[in-house]
Amino acid sequence: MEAHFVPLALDTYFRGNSQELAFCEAIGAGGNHLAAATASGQRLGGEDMLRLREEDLGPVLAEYRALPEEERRGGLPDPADAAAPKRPLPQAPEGGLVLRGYCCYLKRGTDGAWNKAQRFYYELNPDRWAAETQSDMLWLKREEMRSLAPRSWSLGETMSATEPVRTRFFGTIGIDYMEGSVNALPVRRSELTLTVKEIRGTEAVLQVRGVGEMGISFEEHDREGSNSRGCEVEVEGEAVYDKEKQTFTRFDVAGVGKAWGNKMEYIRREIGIGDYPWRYGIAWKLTAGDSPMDRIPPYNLLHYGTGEPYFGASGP
Amino acid sequence: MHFAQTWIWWESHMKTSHPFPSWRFCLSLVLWSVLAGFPRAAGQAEDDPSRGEVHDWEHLHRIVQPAEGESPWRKIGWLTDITAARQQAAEEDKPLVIFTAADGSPLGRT
Repeated sequence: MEAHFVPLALDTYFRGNSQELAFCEAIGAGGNHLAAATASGQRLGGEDMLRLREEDLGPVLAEYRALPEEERRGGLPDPADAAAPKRPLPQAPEGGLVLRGYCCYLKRGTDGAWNKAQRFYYELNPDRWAAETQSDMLWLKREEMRSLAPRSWSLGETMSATEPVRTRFFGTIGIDYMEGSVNALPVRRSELTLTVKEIRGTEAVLQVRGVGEMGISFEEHDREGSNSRGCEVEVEGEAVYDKEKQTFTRFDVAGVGKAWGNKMEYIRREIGIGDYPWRYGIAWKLTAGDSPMDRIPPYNLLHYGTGEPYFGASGP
Repeated sequence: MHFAQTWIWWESHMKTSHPFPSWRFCLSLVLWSVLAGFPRAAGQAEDDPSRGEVHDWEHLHRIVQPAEGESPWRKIGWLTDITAARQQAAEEDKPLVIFTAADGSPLGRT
């Protein structure tokens, strides 16, 4: 891909400054799709719906190469002339923690171990396609991250995450978000602790444990109604805090959850679910934090969330 | 005092002088509570997220993440800055492929 194209991924709610917005409008980048264009802003591939496959992108490349150089590479505006974006893309907190979460469905194997459960969109359709593992981000501010660090630096010392931190972990990346466009759920009850189990020089190895109960309880939910989601999850893992770097160098946590109910106004899931309630798994890990892909904002930091400030009362 | 002796003492000394129910009633109540509560307790254990289901968190951490080959688009070095991407495309004389989503980054939850 990168040998022939420059790949660009956009949340088109944030189309940038005036020049970037004009570029998106010129090439028709505004929905859930794949588009192709020259640097100068000429749309390629016609009105066809493109896919990430050679048979779709090969003709786009041929079309591009047939253009005169000026149309391929010329006409870029001076960024200094751009008006500021109306919706600036949020930036990760300086010195904070950036985690990526993953979510998938689970099933038990014959040996009792958890395995990933393959689900399909439009399962009964011959053209069904498999649901991919979902991912999302979590941001902690510097002081929130350090509130999880050891203080006395002694074995057995336990830090309990504050309520805003627990709410963010469990309500946004502790829920089942396999279905896509899934808002955070309110957290009814949660615990998240980090216990020092080993000291290695400047590093403390911490055991992470926690539970969360989110959304509507199973007993109170309406299986046939909309906005009836709820779930519970148990998490375990290991984190490493480096006191010289004053940051976490590892934050690997996994969880098993049980989920029920229906998303928003919909009462039929697009992904086939056999069990009820169904089981899901989550995984959290640190990102390197230096690639554009690792710097995308958490879904629930944006306007799609519950309306609660992402960083709580102290948020930006 | 032995348990049986305790009950005998209770029956002979307390039952008639205090407004307590009979020991049979108490025993029945205890047994009923245990038996009636057992399925509920079992149900609670089934529903309780802190019942130790994670078992092997490292295995779970590994399998929850995308499997090798599951989402090949994740291997692509997507840019997210439009101006920077246009400049790179002009410099390298390549077309842009733009992956868009209207409700969240296509690289995350959408």
